[in-house]
Amino acid sequence: MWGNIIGAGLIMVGSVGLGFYFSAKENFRVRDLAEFKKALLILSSEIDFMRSTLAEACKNIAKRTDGGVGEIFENFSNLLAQGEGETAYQLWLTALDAARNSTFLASEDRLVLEDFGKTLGYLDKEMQKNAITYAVAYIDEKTTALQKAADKNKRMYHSLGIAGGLLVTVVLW
Amino acid sequence: MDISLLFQIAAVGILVTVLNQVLKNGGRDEQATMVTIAGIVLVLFWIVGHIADLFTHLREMFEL
Repeated sequence: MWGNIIGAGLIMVGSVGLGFYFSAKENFRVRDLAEFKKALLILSSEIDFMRSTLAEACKNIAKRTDGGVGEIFENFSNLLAQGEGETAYQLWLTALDAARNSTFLASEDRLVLEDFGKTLGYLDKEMQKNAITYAVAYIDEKTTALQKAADKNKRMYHSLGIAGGLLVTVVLW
Repeated sequence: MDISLLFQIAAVGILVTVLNQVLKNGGRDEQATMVTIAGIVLVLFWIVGHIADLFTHLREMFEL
């Protein structure tokens, strides 16, 4: 009997924890997107005023951004500085892959960022700025949509965690 | 038949209804349908043996 009760308690703790994790995950995604927007705006300013190389600009961005986003730009800057002979796009993909577990970005965000990498270091500064504008517009749109849905989803994930835990407990009792 | 099975089925029914409503309000109709179907299959899995027993008893009772 006590084994059942302890098991049920553990299942409930686990499922409620999962519910809270999934609700927090969306907030972390919004935070990462905001951080990416900050990084892109810094890059835009670097292009306009500093005229620094891409590696230097990314190094500066990495210093001014937190978490996984900072890690992506740090990795990218290091890869550019090493100059292994690959294209900037491939290095960008490598940097994104290396920081895959440090960010909460969804696959659709990743696709936009990969697309953004295609224009890195390609043609003139106008081209770069247009790519930044496009990525920032995507981030703005996504952030607004996520924030709108956040409250509803938060309550949904909490309820799902509790009800799902109870269901599993009843089935296994 | 163990009476606790009835309580378990009732509990699953209530919880599946709650999950269904929560998912529908969250705009996830497909998942809500899947949860409902999973609940039905689970309960059927529990009672299918008992239904078979019921038919066996009926056949014996009426000597069919």
